[in-house]
Amino acid sequence: MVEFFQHVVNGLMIGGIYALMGIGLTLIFGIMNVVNFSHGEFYMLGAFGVYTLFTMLGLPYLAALLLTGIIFWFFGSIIERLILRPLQHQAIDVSMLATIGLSIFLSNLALIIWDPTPKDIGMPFPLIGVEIGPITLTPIRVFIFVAAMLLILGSHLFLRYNRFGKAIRATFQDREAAALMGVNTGLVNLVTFSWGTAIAAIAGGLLGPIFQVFPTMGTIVSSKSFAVVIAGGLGNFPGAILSGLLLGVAESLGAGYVSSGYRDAIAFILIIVVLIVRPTGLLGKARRLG
Amino acid sequence: MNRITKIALGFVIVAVVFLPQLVNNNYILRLGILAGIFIMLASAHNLLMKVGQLSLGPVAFYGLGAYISAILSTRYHVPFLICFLIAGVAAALAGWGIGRLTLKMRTAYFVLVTIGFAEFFRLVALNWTDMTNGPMGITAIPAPAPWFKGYNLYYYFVLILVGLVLFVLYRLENSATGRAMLAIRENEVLGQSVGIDSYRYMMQAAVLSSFIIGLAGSFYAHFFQFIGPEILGFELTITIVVMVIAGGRATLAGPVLGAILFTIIPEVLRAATMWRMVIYGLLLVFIMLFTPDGVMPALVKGFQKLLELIRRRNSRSQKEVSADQESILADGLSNLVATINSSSAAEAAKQYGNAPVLEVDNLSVYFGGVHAVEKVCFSVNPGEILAIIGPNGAGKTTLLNAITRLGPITSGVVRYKGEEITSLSAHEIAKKHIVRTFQHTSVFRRVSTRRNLLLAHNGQEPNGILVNLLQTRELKQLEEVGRQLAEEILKFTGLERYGDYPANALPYGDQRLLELGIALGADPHLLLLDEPAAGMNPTEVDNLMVLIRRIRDMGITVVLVEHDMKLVMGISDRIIVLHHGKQIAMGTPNEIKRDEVVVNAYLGKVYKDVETVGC
Amino acid sequence: MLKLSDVDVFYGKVHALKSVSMHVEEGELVTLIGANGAGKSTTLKTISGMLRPQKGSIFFQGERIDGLTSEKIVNRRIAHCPEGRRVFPDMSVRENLEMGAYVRKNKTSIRSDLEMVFELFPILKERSQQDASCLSGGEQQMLAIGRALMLQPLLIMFDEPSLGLAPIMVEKVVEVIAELNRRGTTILLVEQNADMALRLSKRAYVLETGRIGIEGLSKDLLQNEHVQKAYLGG
Repeated sequence: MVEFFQHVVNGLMIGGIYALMGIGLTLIFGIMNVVNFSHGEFYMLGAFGVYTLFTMLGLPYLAALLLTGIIFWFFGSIIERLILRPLQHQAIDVSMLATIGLSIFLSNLALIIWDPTPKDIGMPFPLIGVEIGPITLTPIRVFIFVAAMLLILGSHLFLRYNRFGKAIRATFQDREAAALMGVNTGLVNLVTFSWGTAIAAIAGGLLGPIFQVFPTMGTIVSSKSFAVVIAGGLGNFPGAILSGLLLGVAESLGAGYVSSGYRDAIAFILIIVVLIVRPTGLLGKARRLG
Repeated sequence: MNRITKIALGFVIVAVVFLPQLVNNNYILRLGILAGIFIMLASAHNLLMKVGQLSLGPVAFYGLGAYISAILSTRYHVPFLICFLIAGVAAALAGWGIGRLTLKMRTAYFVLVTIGFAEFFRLVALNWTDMTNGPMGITAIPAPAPWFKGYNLYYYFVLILVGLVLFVLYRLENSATGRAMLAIRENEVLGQSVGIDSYRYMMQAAVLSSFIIGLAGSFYAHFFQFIGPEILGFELTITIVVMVIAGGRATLAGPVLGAILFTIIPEVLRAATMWRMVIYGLLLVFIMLFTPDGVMPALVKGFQKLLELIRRRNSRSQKEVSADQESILADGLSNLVATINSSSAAEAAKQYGNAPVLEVDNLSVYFGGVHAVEKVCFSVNPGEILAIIGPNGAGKTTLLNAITRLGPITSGVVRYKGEEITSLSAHEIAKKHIVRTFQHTSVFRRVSTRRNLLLAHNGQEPNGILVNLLQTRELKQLEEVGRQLAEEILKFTGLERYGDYPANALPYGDQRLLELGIALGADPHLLLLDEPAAGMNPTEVDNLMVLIRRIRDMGITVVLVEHDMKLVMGISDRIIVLHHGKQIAMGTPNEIKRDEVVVNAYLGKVYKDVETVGC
Repeated sequence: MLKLSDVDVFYGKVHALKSVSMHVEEGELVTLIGANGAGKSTTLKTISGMLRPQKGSIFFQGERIDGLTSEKIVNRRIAHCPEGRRVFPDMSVRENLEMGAYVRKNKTSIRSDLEMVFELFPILKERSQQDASCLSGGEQQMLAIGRALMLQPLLIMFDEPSLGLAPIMVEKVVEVIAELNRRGTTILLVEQNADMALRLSKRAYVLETGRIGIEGLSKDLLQNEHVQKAYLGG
């Protein structure tokens, strides 16, 4: 029983990161109709960003994390302007292939810059575990989960109550009508993509200290966040959060009790099963945001 | 195909056939074999693009074919040809199974689920070590035969395979199957409403595509004599998809060109050593930015422009032609010409007698808590025009959707000529000669007007893959019937002069007429029209009224959902009024106009005051 | 107040508007009628900056506005109530109305306008917390009009407000538009229902395949033989 709860707690931590990746992807899909295959590479670059700033340059971890987020906000803006905006009116597979090209470009560039050997970021927090009842929590794991939840909650509140957040929702529901209200829909695209990129980079920087950092680390996380988005229902914000957490826990339990070799297959079994049972995703209604 | 293309094609074929004699270089031949495999993969994968589905899982079938062939020949010493065929059949079976699970999905859902399957297959290959050797892969796969040595034999083997595959795809493209796939790609719902079974065609595409990919996988295994889980990797999927999309999706030549280009490009890029994949990624981004439809269509367009330039230099008539076009397009609605001579509907009506053709019995449609249609009962008599009116959101379109099975039914029964049709699917309804039109103009937009009408007839043509491959006489005859019918409908609707223009170039009113024409092309006995007058001006409505009457005179029973009171009151025999999903009145136009309930809920006082309108 | 001179607009290769010139004076109710595809919606979209004219100019209150983004044009208090209502389905009635005031900053005057809209359409107040998708077609039209009013517009452009409504709802929409005009709002009305539009308006333009065919006082157009034949179903 204790072991079970330990798996659940570990799963929630990873699940929080999947959810974080998922909301970015789902929002980018909902607003821009882009299936972003470079999301995993933003995650990888974020981890390398923190590695460079924290491990190599010696900045404090939190500052490195924050700076990484800011840098990738601007990076996302540039990508949106240069690649996605010109393809705005093309079929969905065109922008998809462009982001696939971008992801090949980025991961191979990272291979040249940082070479393929896995790197250790090092521990930003003391390693002493805190025992709550029978379950052991290390500070870094608590930090990752809390940070992920705060970012998700912040995004939710922003979309729900902020003036621009409402404009994003309005654009999601009816782009042309939103423009007629005076919403700058080009800016909405830009902010959505930059925000998604920054969040993915921060997710990489958060998980970096626990796992090692290497140029191809984005691929598997990328396909898992797709699983999360699909299972939650495309464009569905709460759905992505729920299925992200669910996937994290399922993987942790599956690896613990079944076989760790098939751990990565759980994500794909999950989407296949969810879509066969509920073709519009876990939370049913597909068009909902915030 | 014009003469220049034919000559060019002839040259290419000769060059390809004699390539081993011309270069006699193993490196080039090996590339040629690789290109052959990729042409098979890309062309097969493109089949799904033809029905509008993008799969990111072709490697699942490739890996399956390769592994099955490798395991059978290394462990059980099964001869190559049997392995080869089993690989194809097994992949086709897997394609069928996965297709059953996924082909109901569309767009990004389908895309991402297919990745899921491919990844799942890869993980099995990686982890089922007893059978697959896991990450080590299977080595020492035997050549097809002891005497099968040297690249020349492999080259000709793959050349024959590619030739067969392209021949099959070419035959299918130019048959009822090819037309049906075009219809599905352009407008799936409209296709279903004229009787095209989109699921069946998607399944055909999936099975045939995975069969070819499975064969390619088997060939690959016996050519390289080694396979590992990498052949199930996402990178290979990307390579295949890039070949299709960068070449030109849904065209025949596009994937071939794409496959050749993207076999050569990575080889050339080897010179860039470690920057190779960086450049490759960037190149992909640029191709998408500058030729989003693919290289092949861009080349074709460029070639046509060049020809046009030459032609323009030779004659100055070009300008006049385009001015002429403009005046045709601007002319608006045209006069009606001769009616269709023979009508199967009239025959059927004669045989059927006077019992109601359509009976709707206690039909309800609920969406969650919303009762869109609530216990509606009515029947339609043969040869009448029945109108359904009611405010927006009253459930009129939901009712039509339910009857034609493009939408859900919660409870109740619909009978056509005494036979229950509630459990049929949309295309089966159309095959019973119940055809509908749509509220928002629904045509095959990028297809010529004439071809639109040919596609409309497609539901009546055989959908078997073999019949279409062999192009039987029966098929040819039916095609001829479709062609004649299309010409007659062009005359009937007055759209003759637009025959060769794409549907989206037609003026709005004429697009609505084309929609009616498409419905007629599907040989209706019962025609359901959803707001045919929406957006027409009064003069166009007058013309429409004449048309609908003529359609009725051909023996076709008409159900009409409409807001235009002039049209409704002018031509209907009976009217049904829906309000909040419930039927609140039924009667002749005069009875409805005087009905207190209807006046209060729908028509309002103003209408009562100007009672003379329309009649 | 609003003046279009020689405006040319292309939709891809289609020449949608051909040197269209028209004007709307302050406090007027002007209508634009024509067949579908004649360019009525295109005209409104061009004024509100969704489409760019290739030639010609548009002036609003003496200042040139063609080429401005729709955001800047909304800022000049030109509201566009689009065809097919286009309310935000998954936002509450209240949020929809707030979106109408998106470019305004003054919170107190936004709140008082909200009360004004609720007063005009009591049904919207009753359902202010419900999602817009739960409203009936007629109620959604009220919401769309209310949303346009939240801009405190100097000019409202209505695109086919009667489309798809029951005749009884059309009466209500007509009353509302007439009332708004009485209160001093300038209105440009695009309608398929030419009879209704001409009875409601003071002046009218008839668009025919992208060109202004006829213009004049509405009461004269009602008597015009060509208009009767083509648009009133004589």
